[in-house]
Amino acid sequence: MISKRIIPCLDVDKGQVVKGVNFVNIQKAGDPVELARKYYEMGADELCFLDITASHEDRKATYEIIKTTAKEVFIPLTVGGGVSSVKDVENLLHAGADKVGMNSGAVRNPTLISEAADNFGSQCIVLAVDVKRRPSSPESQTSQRFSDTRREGLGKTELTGASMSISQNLNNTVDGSSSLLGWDVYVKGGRECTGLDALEWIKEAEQRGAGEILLTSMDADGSKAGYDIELTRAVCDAVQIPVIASGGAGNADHVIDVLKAGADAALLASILHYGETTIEAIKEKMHQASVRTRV
Amino acid sequence: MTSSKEICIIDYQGGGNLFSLENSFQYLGAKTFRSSHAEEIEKADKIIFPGVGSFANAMRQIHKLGLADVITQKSQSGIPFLGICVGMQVLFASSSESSKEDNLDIVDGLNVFEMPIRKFDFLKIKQAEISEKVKIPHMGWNQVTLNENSVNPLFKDIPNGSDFYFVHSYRAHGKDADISESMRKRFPKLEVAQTNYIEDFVSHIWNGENLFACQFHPEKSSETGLQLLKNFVAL
Repeated sequence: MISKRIIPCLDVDKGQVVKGVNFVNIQKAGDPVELARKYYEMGADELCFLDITASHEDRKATYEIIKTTAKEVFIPLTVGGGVSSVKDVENLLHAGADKVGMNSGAVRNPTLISEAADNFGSQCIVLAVDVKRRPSSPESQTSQRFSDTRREGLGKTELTGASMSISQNLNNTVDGSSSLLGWDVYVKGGRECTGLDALEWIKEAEQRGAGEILLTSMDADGSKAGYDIELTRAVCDAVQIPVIASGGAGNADHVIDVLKAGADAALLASILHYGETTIEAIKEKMHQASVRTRV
Repeated sequence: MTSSKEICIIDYQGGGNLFSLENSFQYLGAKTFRSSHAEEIEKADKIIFPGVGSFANAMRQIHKLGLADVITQKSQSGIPFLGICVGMQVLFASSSESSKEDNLDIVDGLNVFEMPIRKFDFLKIKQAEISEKVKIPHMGWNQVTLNENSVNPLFKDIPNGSDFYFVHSYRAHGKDADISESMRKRFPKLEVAQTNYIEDFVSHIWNGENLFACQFHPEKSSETGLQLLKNFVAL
């Protein structure tokens, strides 16, 4: 049977790897090509580059990174960030990307998905979605407020508090003690709520020809309290295309949980970048938990 | 490398990413050149035939560029020839994968291998028999199993059952036993390798001589894939 995939994600800004904690407090964590090669050698099943560079001119650095990486890393490369036209998709594929992720650009112009899929095939079109729970109970409103404050730039101490609140909120919902109204789609790196319902948008993207979904839970992202299992399950039920779960990984058990919940792949960043665990250790645990993985 | 033959990569101008393959061969120290011209392909003595996108689009481009005859002929000429993904599929009889422009039920292939390509169909399988929802496309790493005692030179130094990277929604259904009499007659030493995705499908086919085709992407299959390409270079 098919293996579940482990995908390290490198957030790249002007040629350097950075990783935001809940999309703020970005820290430098190394050279992208070097990290890519390291993860390739360690057994990554795919790699993901997310270009968070603000200006279009500075994106040339990203093309160079992809070109160099593709010459020495022989696993699929997904590249996303700022993709807003068919030309952007083509440029990334020509630089050596195997799949291209689109997010805000697809929300603004959904025909981008269909046009890109018609031109290059669904197999290389990944819809990236950043979603957040709709507030539904006093607890989750607390969490919402924490998240809002966090985006304005709180320090590390407050972040821990926020993470705990999110974790409690997730548990409450899983237990069924609070009703869930669904998830909203956010764009612009999580700064803007579109009002789109996540499940409806993801279904539309599948209809339009997206070949895979990269699903990021903004509630869980950076929390290290585990992936949003309920969200992942809901999305896997809604579509037939593969789903990559992202946001919230704190340890190997979290990865196993989300893969068992139906995700086809798990996206990992900080816990790998900061050496808290290794791909090898995660795969060993997956093997023990009878989740098939490529060795 | 034991071979200095330049490898011709057939480019049917279908918008596919040929860089990955070129990068792999470059890494292995082998020379490649792209060609979309029948006369050039005719002279080649080692050919890679990659493809992505839809079957219908690939066939349309192949006919438009006048490559159908040269591909059919070269694939059976005895020179090392490797079809990859859609490049494998178009060597088969037909496919149910059309495109907006073509809008056909069934699209004819080059019919080197007389087997049809059809979409994965899990509707007939009872949900109870599947522990988890099955996704289409079949995307990710899966095991390729050769016949026991196979001497397929493309898999030299690759353990049987190794994982390769796949991404596709259509496949040649069946196993070795499903090969027709006429196909056996055409290729007496024909062998197929299988991969299981709820059902067994043909993930690799070898005519027993120098014609090979893979549904998976060796150029994206890490060290195992590089070994396969290295074996091809050495043919």
